[in-house]
Amino acid sequence: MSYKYTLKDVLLEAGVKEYYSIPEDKNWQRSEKHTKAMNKLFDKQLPLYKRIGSSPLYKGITIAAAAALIFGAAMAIKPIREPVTAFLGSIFGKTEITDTDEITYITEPDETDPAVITDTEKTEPAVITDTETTEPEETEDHTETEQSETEPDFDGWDKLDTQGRVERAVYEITHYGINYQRFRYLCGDEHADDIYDDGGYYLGDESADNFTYGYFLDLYDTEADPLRKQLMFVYISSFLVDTWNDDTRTVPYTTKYYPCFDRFKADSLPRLDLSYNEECDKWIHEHYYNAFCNYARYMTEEDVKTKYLPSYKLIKKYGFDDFLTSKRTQKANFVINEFFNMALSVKYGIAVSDPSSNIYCRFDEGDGYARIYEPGDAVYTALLKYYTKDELDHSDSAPVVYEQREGIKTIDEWKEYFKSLTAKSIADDFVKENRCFLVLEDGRVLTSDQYRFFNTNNLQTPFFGELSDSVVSDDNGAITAIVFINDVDQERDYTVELKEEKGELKITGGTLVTEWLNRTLSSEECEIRDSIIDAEKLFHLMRFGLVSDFRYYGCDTAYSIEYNNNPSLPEGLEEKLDQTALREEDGEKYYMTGTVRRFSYGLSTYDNFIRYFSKILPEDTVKNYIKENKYFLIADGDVYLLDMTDQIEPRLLIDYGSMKITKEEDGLITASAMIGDAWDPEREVTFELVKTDDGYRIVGGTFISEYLTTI
Amino acid sequence: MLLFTAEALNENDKQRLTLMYEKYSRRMYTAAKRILNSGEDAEDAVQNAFVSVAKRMGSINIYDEDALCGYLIAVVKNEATDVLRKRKNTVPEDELADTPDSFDTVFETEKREVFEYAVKIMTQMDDIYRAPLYLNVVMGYSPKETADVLKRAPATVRVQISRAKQMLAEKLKEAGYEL
Repeated sequence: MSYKYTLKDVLLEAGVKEYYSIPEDKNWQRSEKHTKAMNKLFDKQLPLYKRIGSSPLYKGITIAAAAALIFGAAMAIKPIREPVTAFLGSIFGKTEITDTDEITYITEPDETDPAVITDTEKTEPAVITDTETTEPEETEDHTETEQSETEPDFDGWDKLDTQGRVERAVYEITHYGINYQRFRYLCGDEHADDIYDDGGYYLGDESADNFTYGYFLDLYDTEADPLRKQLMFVYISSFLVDTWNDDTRTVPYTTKYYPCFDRFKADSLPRLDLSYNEECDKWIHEHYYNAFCNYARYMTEEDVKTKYLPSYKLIKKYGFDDFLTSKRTQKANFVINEFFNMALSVKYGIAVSDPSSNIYCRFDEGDGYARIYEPGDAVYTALLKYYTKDELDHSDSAPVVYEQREGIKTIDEWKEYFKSLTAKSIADDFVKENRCFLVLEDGRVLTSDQYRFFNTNNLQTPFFGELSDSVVSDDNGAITAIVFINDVDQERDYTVELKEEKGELKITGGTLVTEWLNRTLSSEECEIRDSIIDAEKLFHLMRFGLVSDFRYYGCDTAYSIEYNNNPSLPEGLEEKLDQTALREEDGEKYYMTGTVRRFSYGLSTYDNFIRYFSKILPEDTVKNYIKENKYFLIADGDVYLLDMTDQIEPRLLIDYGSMKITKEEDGLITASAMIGDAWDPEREVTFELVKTDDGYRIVGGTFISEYLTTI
Repeated sequence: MLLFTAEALNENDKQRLTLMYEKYSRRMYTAAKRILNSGEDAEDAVQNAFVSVAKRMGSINIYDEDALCGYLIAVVKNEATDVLRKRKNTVPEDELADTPDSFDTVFETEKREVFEYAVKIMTQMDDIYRAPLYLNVVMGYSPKETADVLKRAPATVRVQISRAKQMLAEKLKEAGYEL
């Protein structure tokens, strides 16, 4: 029985093709407005700490009220209250609780009295009575003298022990939610609804350093009222616990600890288990220190010391010295990064822009072409300097062209900005028109990513090492940095020298300038690598069922059939699957879990597939290698693939950074590289190649003899 | 302004909608931005598209990825065009509604070659015709539902669906393929 294609198949295929021809905009920074609207649509129920209002007013009200509520609840329990007051007094000597402070606590409920929270709470959240435990002398014994602000002197771990139970209770409350109606009453805030509906979604998406580390601590630091300040401290602690739990899921907790006002019942109090949970407490203490260290890593030492002295004392006491580098160093890193990205656009055509701004594109349909957008005369004319008309309209080499980002869209703007990052002499010498960096007659700068670094997502993509450790010295006159670049054909360190000119840091020298900036790629080496990359794709496909390598490749756009859900497979295919991807146990059939895919165009038939790969490998090698492969199925002359990408085993990768290419006198080219898993390429493979009309063809070497053998 | 809110969705639908957003929104954004040349407007288009999708969560199988990706791109492009139209302060053309709706040839072939050519035609077809056809044929929407999604008149949609089929048939015929 042959398969009948219907209009639905046509539309599906067209839809899938279009979808995969559209690049994902990975640089899209969703706006606050959009995020808010989408969250509203999805009705995300964020934790309390993420639902608080965004405006300073709401934030302040929310924090203070939540803290008051939490603190009050915790303080209603004597075994908690005592060590907490002691702790707060000891850590923050300036804000010690004295017998003159009007501190009262939520009434610890009588077991026989179901009225747990009185009406007074609604109007006076911070003034709550406690008939049993308002003992001013509780705090007196724990008041410490002020510590020196110049020498770190923290002595609070034994006091921190008391925090476990408080934070546990606070954590539970924040984790499981809080009654917003009560919250609104306590706040006395007429905009409480707005806090929930409009304000609550902003903070959840703010970056952690702004939200967690910056805002709360800053709020705490600037709070003048001593009681509020102490309450905030408790709230911050709870927030930390929640954050840690989001990250690691390792906070032990139990709902036995008074978890939630929503579920608060008077008769539940006697059942609260206030026993000391050593495991939880130990964990919190360990991470308390680490959390403050994490803050500090995002701030300069000067800032931490100035703004957050108690935290500073604590982390210095225990040896922390990994503060963020100075603003000057940050600026240096920024300059290097910008310089590198702009240089990439000239050298390799990687736009300093949003990848979605491509304006001319062709993808392979075997016998035709498709343009996402007509290029327009100006672009087309510029491209014709480097490409033939036939190449532009019909061949694989037709480029994807990108616009530059706002501010450097024209050559004048581009040069001006580049000169702001480096010395004028370096900038003047660098910008040249080439196949990657196009300057139109109207001055617009476009880049043509001919190697499709971002599209292919393969190991050729130039990679700039981590910036955080790049600056190695700063004598206030000159900065020296070392950056690691995993370039297309090699990987190594480069030095960067920066100096300050008229208040601006600029790159003035170093091997990044002298050895990398004007270094050009050998197109011959790139073609050799292209052949090897194709051979590696074939290897991955046959060895692991990894079809995803081809999905970036322009020659695919897979037609997929969810195998288990679609019994109407093309004639012969089910039989093939039975032969290769089926196992039977106790009379039951079990297929491998994968998706059957089909190449759409250039590789869709067996003959085309062989023809394509025979350009880069010996035909016999290809035929033998794909023979009787469980992932490679042929039915009615067409190629089908059992895609195991989602179930991928650890695969062997060629480390292109380690590749060495040598030429022999007889025209034979030998390439060698390490191969292994992604992090540990441990063996060497060799490739022997010859030049052909279609590029370079691998004719020998250990990759063929040891890897492309029949599986 | 979101007129449709999550209140109308059950928890499963919200979860599915969120998954769809996470998986498809970046490409949708790209598609919209190409039409609108504005990130802000493109975000609006994505947002409106998901509102439209949310209204029909009950009829969407999010695990049928092939159908879904085409659907979402069709919807977001339609929303983007809508934003563009509003920006230009023009009104959608409705004169098509007067055109008789008569063409309804069934496309069916066993030949891969014909299928591939038909796909090529379809990829090049103007979205104004392809989108209603897609919603009608792939998603199984009635002309009225299709019209609702695309914010067009039902009569217009009926004609556009018919014309899309007609155009496909004519192009195939021109290339020497008979259905």
